[in-house]
This record gives sequence, C-alpha cells and structure tokens, in this order.
Amino acid sequence: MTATTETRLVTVTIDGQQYTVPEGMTILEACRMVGIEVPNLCYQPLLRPWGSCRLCTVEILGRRGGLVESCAAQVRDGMEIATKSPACEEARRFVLQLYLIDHALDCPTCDKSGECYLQDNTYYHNVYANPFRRPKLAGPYKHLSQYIDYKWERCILCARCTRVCDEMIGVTAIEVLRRGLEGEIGSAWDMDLQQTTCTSCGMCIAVCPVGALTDRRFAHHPWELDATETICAFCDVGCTLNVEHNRGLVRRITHLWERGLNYGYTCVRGKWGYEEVQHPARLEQALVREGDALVPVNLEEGLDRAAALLASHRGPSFALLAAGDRTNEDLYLLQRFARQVMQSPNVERLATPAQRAVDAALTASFGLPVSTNSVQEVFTHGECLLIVGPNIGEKAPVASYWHAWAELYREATLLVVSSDDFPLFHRADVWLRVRPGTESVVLAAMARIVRDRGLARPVEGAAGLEQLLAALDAIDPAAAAETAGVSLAALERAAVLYATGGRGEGAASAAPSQIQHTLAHAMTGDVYAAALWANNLALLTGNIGRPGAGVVAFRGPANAQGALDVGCHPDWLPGYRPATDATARAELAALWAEASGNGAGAAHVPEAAGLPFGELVEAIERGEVRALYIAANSHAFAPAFDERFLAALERLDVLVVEESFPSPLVERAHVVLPAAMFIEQDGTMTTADRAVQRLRRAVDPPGEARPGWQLAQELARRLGAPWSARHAVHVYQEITRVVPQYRGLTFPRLERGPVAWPVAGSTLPTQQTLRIGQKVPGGGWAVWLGNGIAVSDAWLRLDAPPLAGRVRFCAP
Amino acid sequence: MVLQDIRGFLVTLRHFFQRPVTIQYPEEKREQAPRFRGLPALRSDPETGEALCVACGLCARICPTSCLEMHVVPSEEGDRELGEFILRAGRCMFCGLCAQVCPVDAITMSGEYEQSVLDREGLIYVKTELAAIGSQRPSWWEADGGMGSEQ
Repeated sequence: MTATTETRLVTVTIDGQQYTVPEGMTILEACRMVGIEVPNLCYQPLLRPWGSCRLCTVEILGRRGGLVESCAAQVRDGMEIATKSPACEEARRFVLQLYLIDHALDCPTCDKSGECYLQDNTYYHNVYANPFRRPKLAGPYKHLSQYIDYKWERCILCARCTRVCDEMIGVTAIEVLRRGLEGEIGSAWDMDLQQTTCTSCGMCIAVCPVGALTDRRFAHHPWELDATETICAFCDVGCTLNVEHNRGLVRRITHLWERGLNYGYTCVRGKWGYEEVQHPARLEQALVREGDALVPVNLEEGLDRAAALLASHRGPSFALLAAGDRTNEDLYLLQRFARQVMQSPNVERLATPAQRAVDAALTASFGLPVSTNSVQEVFTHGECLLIVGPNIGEKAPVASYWHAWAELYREATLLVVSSDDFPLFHRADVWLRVRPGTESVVLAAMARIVRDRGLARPVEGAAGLEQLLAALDAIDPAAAAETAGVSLAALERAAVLYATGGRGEGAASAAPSQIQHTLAHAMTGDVYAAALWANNLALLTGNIGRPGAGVVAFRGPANAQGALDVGCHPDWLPGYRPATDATARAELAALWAEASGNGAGAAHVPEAAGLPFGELVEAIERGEVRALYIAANSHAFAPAFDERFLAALERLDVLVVEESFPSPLVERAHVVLPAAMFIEQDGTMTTADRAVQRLRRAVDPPGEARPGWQLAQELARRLGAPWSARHAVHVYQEITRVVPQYRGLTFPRLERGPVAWPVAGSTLPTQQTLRIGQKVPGGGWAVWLGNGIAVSDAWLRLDAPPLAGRVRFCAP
Repeated sequence: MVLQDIRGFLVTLRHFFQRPVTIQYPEEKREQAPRFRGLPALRSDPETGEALCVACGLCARICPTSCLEMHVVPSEEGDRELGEFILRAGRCMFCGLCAQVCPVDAITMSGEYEQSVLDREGLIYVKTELAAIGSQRPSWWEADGGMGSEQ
C-alpha cells in the first residue's frame, strides 16, 4: 500500500449514466465523486469502510448482481449500479424501521435534530409507520467528561466515534462496550474521559450521525444558528472551523468535512476554543493609568492618550512587540506603524526563546525561517515521519492525526524523539523516549550513524557539507544514547529507518522521510542545536527538495510564519528584505508613500536593523528604549512571559498594551487598548507550512474591542499619518504588493481555500506547493523569492547572488 | 297611546323580575369557553409543581409572528433546560400553534384575556409571569381537552 501506485480507471454505470472513476474506489466514494448522494450512517471520509449501518445498500444489476453495501464494495469495470432502485429503497426502509424500534425518538429535545442522519433518512425514505414495536428502553444519560455526554437510547452503534478516536486521533479513549442490546459507547471501566487518554478533541461528537454523543455545553437547535467559516488561531496548523453563532454569541464549532487543511477535523482548542474568545474576563474597554489604578475610558480617549504619550518617543527609543497569533493585517500595520510613523527599527515578535531559536535554525539552514514542505504531503507521499520535540498531540494536534492516519492507512514508518507520552507514540516503529532537552544530542547521533553506515545522500549543491561531516567526528552515538537515556540499538534503528524512508538498510533506494518538530515548544535543552540538527539530518539524507520529505516546524502561535512574512522582525522588512539594504528600504518607502495617498510625501524607513528581543530587554533596562507598544493576546494557550522581561517593563516611560485579556502586561501598562480575537475579525493568517488562509468575522468583538490593524491605524492617524483602510482587505492588498511572496494570493483566491505561498500566476488553480530546495527549470535551487505573478524563471536561484549558499549545512 | 306605553312597560316589568344578564365586571368575571384562546401560558405538573417544559423550542420555532423567544441552557443531567422564556404579547395573534405543537403540553392557551397595560413594556411576559398565569386556574387545563392533547 505504501508505494504510490498508478491509478487505473474503470467505467461504471451509475443510475443509467456512465462514469469513469479510479479503480479500487468503493462504490460509495465513486457515487460521491460524481455527485450522487448515497444515504449512509457509518461512512466517514478518510476512514476505512465499516459496513455496520447497512443503509448504503445499492443494487448491482446484471446476472451476478444483488444488493451490496456500497461503502465496502469496490467498483469493477462495467459494473451497473442502481442507487435508487425499488429493491434497495425497500432494503433501506426495512433497516430504518429496525433502527427506530429502539431509537429514543426524543427529537424535539435532541441537539442533533435537524441535522441528524437518521432523522433525515427517515424522512427521505418515507418511513412513517413502524410495524415493529416494543416498549422503548430507557437508560440514564452518562457524562463521559465535562465536555461529552452519552445518551444510550439514541445510539445506533455505528462505531464512527470509536473509529475516529482510534484511527484518526490515535488515542482509543472510547470503545464499544458489551454486546448486543447492552452495547454502549464508553471508556474503559467507565472512567471519566479526562482521566483516560482522551484529548477532548470532541471528534466523537462531531462524527456521531445521531444525537448519542453530545456537547454538554450546547443546547440549541442547528436551525437557530448562522454559520461562518473561519480559521482557528490557537496553533499554526491552521484548521478550518465552521463557527455557528446566534444572538452575537458563538454556540458551537462544527466541521466542514474534507475542507481546509484539516479536512474538518479539529482538536480540543478548535472545538472549544471559542469559550476562550467569549470568556467573561475579556477586555472590553480601553484603560488608562491614573496613579496606581487603571481607569476604564472610552476607546477614543484611550487612543488619544496613547497617541499623546507616544508622540514624544519617536525614533529608536520606541519599540514594538507583536504576538504571533495576530492576523497578517494586524502585524503588517503594526510594523508599518513602528517603522514609518514612530521611525523606529525596533520591531520584534513577542515570542519565547525556543520559538526564536527554531526560526534562527531554519534561517541558518534554508535561508528563510520557513518549513520546507507541506504537512499535506503526508497523504500523498508520506512514507516515513520523524516526530521530534514536545508532545505533538498537544502542540499541533491535528498534525498528529495525520501521523496516526499515515501510520495506519499508508503504513508509514513512524519515528518519535520525544520525552512526552502520547498514545500515538506507542504505535511508533521507534520511540526514543529521550530525557527532556536531549533532542539535539539524539539527532546529532542519528546524523553520525547515517554517515557511518554509508546512508548519507547529501543534498547536492548545499554548502558546508565538509564542515558538517568533520563536525560529526566529534559525536559519539554510544555516549549520546547514554546521555539521552535510550538504547543504542533503538537509536541506530531510528537513524537507519529515517535515512532510508522506512525501507531499512540494504534497500535499493530511499523513500522520502519528513521531519515534523515541535521544538519551538521545548522548555529545556538547546533548541537551536536540536532544530539545526534536524535540518542537517534532512539535508544529509537528501530529504530536502523532495515531495514527502523536508522539515516542518510547528512554531506555536497561529501566525508565527505570517509575522515574519510581513516584517515583524528587527532584521527584515516585509518580504524578508534586509533592513540594512538601502534599495529595499527605498522601495518600501516609495510603496508606503504611494499607499498613504493624498500626497503625504516620501515615507522614510529607519536605516539600521532593530534590536532583537534579548538586546531589546537590555536596552529597556539601560533606559535606552523608553516607550514600548505591545500587541499581545494572552489567551489560555499563549506561552507565559519571561520574568526578566516583565521586570524590565516597569522601567518604561510609556507602555501601551493592546490586549484581549487581563495579563501581567496589562498590570504594567500606561494605556491598554482592547483587541479583538480571531473569530471577531476579518483577515488572513499563514500556517506553519506557509498556507495563507482567510479569517472571517463571525461575531462582534466584546465592548469596544477592535482588530489590531484598526487600532494601529487610529494611532497612526492621530500621529499624522493619513491611513485610511476601511477593511482588512485594503491592508491585505497592500501586503500583496509589499511582500513578494504573497503576490497573486488575492482575497478572492483565498476565499476558495488555503493557498501556500509562493504561487505562480494570480488566476490559475492552486499549484502544488513549492518545496524549498526543489529543482527549478534551468537548474539551481528554488528559493521562492520574487515568484509572484511571473512564472518559474523568476525564481531566484541559489547560485545567484545574494542568495548563494542559502541552503547549507550548519555545523553547530 | 297609553295602552302602548303600558305594553312597553310590561316588557320592562317582566325583565325586572328576571336574573340580570350583566356581570359586575371587574368584581365578577365570566367563565370562558373551554377552547377560548387567551394568553399562552406555561403549565407545571399539578402534583410536583415542576415545570413541564422540556425546552425543545418548537413553540418558538412555529410561532408565525416570532413573539416567543426561548433561551435554552444545558441542564445538569445533560438534557436541556428552560433558561428564559419571553412572550411578546403585543405581537401575539393568539393562533394557538405553540400550544398545538408542544410535545408535552407545557404551553397552553389560557383564559387570560385582560391584557391592557399602560406601556408596551408591560406586554412582554417572562417565564415566571407566564408560569404564574398558568397556575392561576387549573380548570383551564382540565377544560383544554382539544388543544394540546390531540397529539
């Protein structure tokens, strides 16, 4: 199964019409593909057929025909299929009548009523009277956890929930208990799910075709709700959420199957993160400091005060810190505010040292702080996955679903280097349960083993190979295994499997192996070295520039990538143009002057590069930076602040904080501006693997909270810059002009779904994601710059200055 | 002429000794017909006093004038519970669909017909008020054979 096989096509007749579909597809999938609805209760996309509901019965015509379960039967050449023949309608009606004997039929008070598969099919098949009757059996409702309720009498035991839990989430927290009429869904020994391996992702609720598993906090009818499709902003996987809301409040998150980067699947943050957005503690008003107290004022007054305070701190004594979970528009206008209006080069992200270290390591190896490949390649090319770092099941949960899926359905080799325990890791081929903080040692040892075994296929043309090979001499795998607390044999096995794409030593060719790491969440150890060794390992085994290979780094905040793209970095202007480059500055200044309109005159971009975070804190302590603007978003999933940084804030003359929650920053602020969160604003965000996605406003922000770009614009206007964006799209249009990578990624294009930058052309259908290090026509390495509207010849090449040597080995 | 006058007074005289037809409203009130449709009201279990409503929201859904508003909260048992129930009587057209659709007969058209108020605010009834109206006269429920229990 793992090898990508050539797909043959077969011709089948469905309901009298001929269709050509890939061989090996089930009849149900073929019908869905050509747009014919076949009723079903237990079919779930991406999961294997189960065939328990017997509702997807179709009739095969011909001599050897009959009724078959379409979800489990494959199409054959020349097959004649009838999906609505009297015989299969009759069979379905009979099955439905049997279901309805024991089904509770409490539809009026059932949360599922209105979108219930059983209800829909009962109507659809015109089952109005049931010849089979007996008194209904009733069971008490069970609270499986604080989120999930189970109502036995509604359950049809289709096992969708347990299959999702087992095959997709990979935790197997719920199973079908007992047999026959006593069968029910539950956890082992009826434990509360919170005490089991359950991650509270809520996918069991999402897939339940009836109302058996329900959300404890939801008590509405689906028809009362309006839906808005948006993107989750609690990690950088970038899941598409369907936000259902009424009366200005989000009521639940539902799932758009087979849509977005997550195919509808979400984790606990996606499913219940909206409670964080409408948390009662949210800041609703601007606050200004009067002596020791923060006094609520209206937003206009707060902005006036902030502008008055900031007016006297233009120049390098001002600095801006922006959290990575703001939209691209927020971050872009904030950095423009700092650079153009405040005339300060000090623009930095509010990120943890580990996040910065991972970005630095990616930059060192690949020229830019980006993941080389797309996570989605797991589905098409994934044959071997090396998962490194803190529990990916918690840090980037939906990515871990793909690992479970690839392990099961593509028989991919799973290698894990993690000190944390997660049920998925128990299924891995090799799980190196290293001591916390020793990932770098283990990865370096793996590189040494790869070299010693002669499995190295170093990426051609990348600089620094000799230095790296020389550096490997100093590494002793046995000592590394000792340090990390893992066995040397396991370490060697992991190295060999990774280098050969899971095929093992002696294989004629190596399959691609992808590294996905969450090192940016690490609390201990040398994160920079670990991330760098991950990159080196990929380069050394030829896993760069290959589909299904590469390095994907999950960096925590939802828009960590976008923040860098739009220039929230002291060294880079928008589009990764060096802040020290006079041409880049002049071009940016010209664009800004033009964008401002009404003859504001030439804008000026500060010359020097700004202070990186560590130096910034020192500069605050020394009193060189006197004014600071922080755009933060201290929700429950945001990392904590550094003590030294918080202490330094006390020394500032002016601290303006844009926040959505009361936080240590708010306590120290002179002016607090209330900020909107992701469900409350339009805009775009960029995932860890560079896919730009569209956020849509579902509900209004609480009180006077506003999106960050509006606050930045209002402040800029008060300080004399006539900015006039009326919607996030106006800011985004400017981004697409200023940031070359975003060229062609227009809003209408994003409406259709995620698009990974860079793209060729502005109207073509989305092409395959460009992989870093991929060969481009004409030779050289694609480094994705300037690849805007023009076609591939505009790709900058590695051998062309100033990018020579940008993909390289880095000996730490 | 005189004879005609006397004949007329005879009619008056006959009525003088009959029982009066006029009721001394508001001291005295007329009993409504069993299927009279007054203000929709909430009913509770006559024995336990517990509200009958299961918060399915069908009344609010079917209301042609959208005068009913139901706020539902999840209950402890995992079921749904009535959070708030609002009747905007100024908009109600007393069609009785809410009472008909209720699966548990928790809402019924009461005999309450005195609905004059001093301002529009007074036409907005909340859960407790509707329950109080509903519990005024249990006879309304007994008489209400035709409305809700047909299902």
